[in-house]
Amino acid sequence: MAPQTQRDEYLPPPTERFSLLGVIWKNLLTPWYNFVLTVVSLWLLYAILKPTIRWALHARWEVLPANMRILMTGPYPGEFLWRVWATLWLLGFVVGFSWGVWVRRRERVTWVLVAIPILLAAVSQGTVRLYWLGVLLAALIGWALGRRLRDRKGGLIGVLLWVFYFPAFVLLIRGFGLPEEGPAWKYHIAVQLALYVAALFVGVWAAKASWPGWIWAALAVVGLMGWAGPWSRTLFIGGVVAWLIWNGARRYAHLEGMKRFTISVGLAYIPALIFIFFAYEPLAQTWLSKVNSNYWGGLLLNLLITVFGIMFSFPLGVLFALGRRSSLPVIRLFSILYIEFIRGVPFITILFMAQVMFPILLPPEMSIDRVVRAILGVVMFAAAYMAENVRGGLQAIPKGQYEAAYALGLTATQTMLLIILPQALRNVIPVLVGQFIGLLKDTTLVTIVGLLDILGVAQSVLSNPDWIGTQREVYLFVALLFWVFSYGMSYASRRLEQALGVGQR
Amino acid sequence: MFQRQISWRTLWRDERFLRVFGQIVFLLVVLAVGRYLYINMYRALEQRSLLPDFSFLNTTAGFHIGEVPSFLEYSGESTNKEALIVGLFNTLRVSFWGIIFATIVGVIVGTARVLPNPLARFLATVYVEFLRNVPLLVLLVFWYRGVFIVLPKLTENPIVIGRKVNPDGTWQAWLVLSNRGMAMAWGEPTEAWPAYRLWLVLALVAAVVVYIGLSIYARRTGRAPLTLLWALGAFLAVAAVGWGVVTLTHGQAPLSLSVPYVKRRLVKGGIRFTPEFLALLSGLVLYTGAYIAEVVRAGLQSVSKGQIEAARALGLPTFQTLRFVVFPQALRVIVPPLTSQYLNLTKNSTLAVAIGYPDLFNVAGTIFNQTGRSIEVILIIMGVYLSFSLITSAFMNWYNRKIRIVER
Repeated sequence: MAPQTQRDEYLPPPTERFSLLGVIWKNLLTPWYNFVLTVVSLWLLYAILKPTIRWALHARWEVLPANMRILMTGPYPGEFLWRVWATLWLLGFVVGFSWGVWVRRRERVTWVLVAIPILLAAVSQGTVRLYWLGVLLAALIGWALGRRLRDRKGGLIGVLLWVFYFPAFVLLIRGFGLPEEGPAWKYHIAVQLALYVAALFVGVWAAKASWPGWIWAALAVVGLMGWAGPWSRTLFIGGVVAWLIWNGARRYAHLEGMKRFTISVGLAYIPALIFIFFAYEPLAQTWLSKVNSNYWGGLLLNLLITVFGIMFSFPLGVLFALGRRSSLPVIRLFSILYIEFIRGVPFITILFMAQVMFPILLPPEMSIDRVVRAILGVVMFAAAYMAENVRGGLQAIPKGQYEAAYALGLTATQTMLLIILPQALRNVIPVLVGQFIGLLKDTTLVTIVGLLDILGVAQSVLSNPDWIGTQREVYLFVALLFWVFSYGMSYASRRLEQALGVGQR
Repeated sequence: MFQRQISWRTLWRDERFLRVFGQIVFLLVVLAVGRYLYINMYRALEQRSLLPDFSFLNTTAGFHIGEVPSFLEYSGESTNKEALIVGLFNTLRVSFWGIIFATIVGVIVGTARVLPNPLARFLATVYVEFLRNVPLLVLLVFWYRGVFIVLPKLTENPIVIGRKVNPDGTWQAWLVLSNRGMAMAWGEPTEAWPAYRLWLVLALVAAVVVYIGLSIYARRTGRAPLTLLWALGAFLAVAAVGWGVVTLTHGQAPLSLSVPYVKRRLVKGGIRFTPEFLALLSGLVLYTGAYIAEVVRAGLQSVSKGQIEAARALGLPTFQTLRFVVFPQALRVIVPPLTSQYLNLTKNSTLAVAIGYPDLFNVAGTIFNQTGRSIEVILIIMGVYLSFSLITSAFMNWYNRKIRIVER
């Protein structure tokens, strides 16, 4: 019996018990301060929820469906509303495609995403319901395509789809159309020429680069296209041109400098000219005609400004970050002054300055309209913050990476673009997404300088005598809308982080 | 003999030359663009006869400002400069109180985010996740238009604490909250106040003396007295003694309690806040509080568990663990982002313009609308906010030097 008693002396370690009552006892009721905390929390919950629910049951929610269109799109012309929907169909397609390519496991989020258009279709009526089902259909088509291409360059196509989604979004909303006749043409052509040259260099360079070069080229093209500002014609043609140059240059990459250059130019210009003369003008006159920016409004305007802001402030911010770390004193000083100045003043003063100062600083014939001025202000502002975030990423790259790249014989530019920046940017994804969210939230400030974004539209809805006294309903809806967008973005960034293994290497 | 040839061809391949040359070109481009913009601006302003000139600061403002700090004079005849000063003090006022309350909210919520109590943690998480993902402007407009100016009127059914109806039909309360803002019982200086002010100065001196004395004591003996707490105690003690002495010698207390009373549609007495101020303050506090909560949480979580366990193993009680192990390490993480949140709050107070609180930006905007002096107004606003930022970053640099971990 001796071994028996010996065994009894060693008691097994106490096991953690997971009974509901046990958890409640351990976390909610003991010791005394936990109990106090629980009581206070419950009281808070009650004090907030009771009046909120009582109000929500008696609120005049009908103000929202009655004004939904104007809240979403502001004064955007009704005959072209389908173009707004088209951007959503495209989005559905791109999201579906990405899902097909990248999401291999069963995910609960999938069902949430599928439920969104179905739910929205269920609560809407008439054509709107069909439109929402269209979003679902586009997503399903994209998903099927993505699954088929999963192992054949699907990832690359997915990235490019996202990169080109945003210019397409802007293009659909803005439409084709010539700028008004006048001296502005001079600038228009100059900008276009500069763009062609830039796209050319990017294309030729990209042909030499390995795969990160593709993404860089795409990003650079999108960024460069942006500089054309209101001339979305350039935007689109610039994209086509860059793509052609890039493809052409790839094929002739083995040829020597000048020869490759000539071939690229030839390849790029002929289709571009054909496009300009045969496709562009008819488009502008029919179903894709220009919608002036003073017709942009509602949530659409907020999203447009965000998209523009991200598209242009990103490359600009990277440039300023590199400038601030440059060994050239003039460039470094310029970057530091710019960044610190912008970061030192409130956003609204920048917007105010953009509205008031740009018309004074530029010659009278180069008038820029209000929306574009606001966008420029946003870009100027966001670039400075972007630069600081990117700089944080750059500083985290160990020196050995530079030295290894030089040892391999890469030039300074190649080192930066192929070795340093991809790593630095991957490390700052969470911060950058945080900044994009901030940008989206900050777009509401344009209402202070008199633009009709969703807040501005909300104000005009509330001054309608039919809807007086519905401030809470309307503003709560606006807040929830922004919440959904921001939360969605931060969720997506967390997933992207996981996929890229940030913080795990 | 080795002869060095200098020609353009070799120069173009010399990196040292290219670096200098590139910078010169860059500088020239910047200067050219600047000159171009300056000429355009000069022409445009000359045409409108608005060339930069700060004399408008001394002309009559002629507009009404809703709230003026009690120590400043402002009327319709005051100059633009005085209007701007009123705006500046309004900005400082809302930022000051905003920073204090946002810190309180942030510390409470941030601590609740790391507590084991799931209910408190849940509430704090909901608060932070909601507030951080909603634009501040929407929040402000919601507070102002959806809450503060639709509160019950004074004549109807305002929210009150401790209401008492007087025989003459007026009524008074400790706190009155209506669509006209909030009024609260408050100490009002009496004739004895100037004498008491001297005592307050004395109390401050006492606190500083205690602080310095204890610091020296701490350095000599290696002990760690609660310096700040003792200094605060000294301040309060002297202030209390002074209160008694002044009350005895002057026959009345330095502050008398002023309770707000309502006469039909007017509130008098007590301390009063406009709905604009309340909406701006509460919006800023809730919004910045959520960000500060995240800062606090990150700071608390940055202290590794091993540190706390080691402190426990050394036999430190809970309070000492917090004071000597957790807080010093957490504060090092918390203070830099916290200061930038304070700066953000100050900068965000410019959104007051959307709800009509007369802060600096709002007043400057009004002046711009009246005089058309764009450049001057923008320079003034940006100068003020830039100097706020510079002061803050100077403080940050000093603090970072002070708390830097001393390495070998």
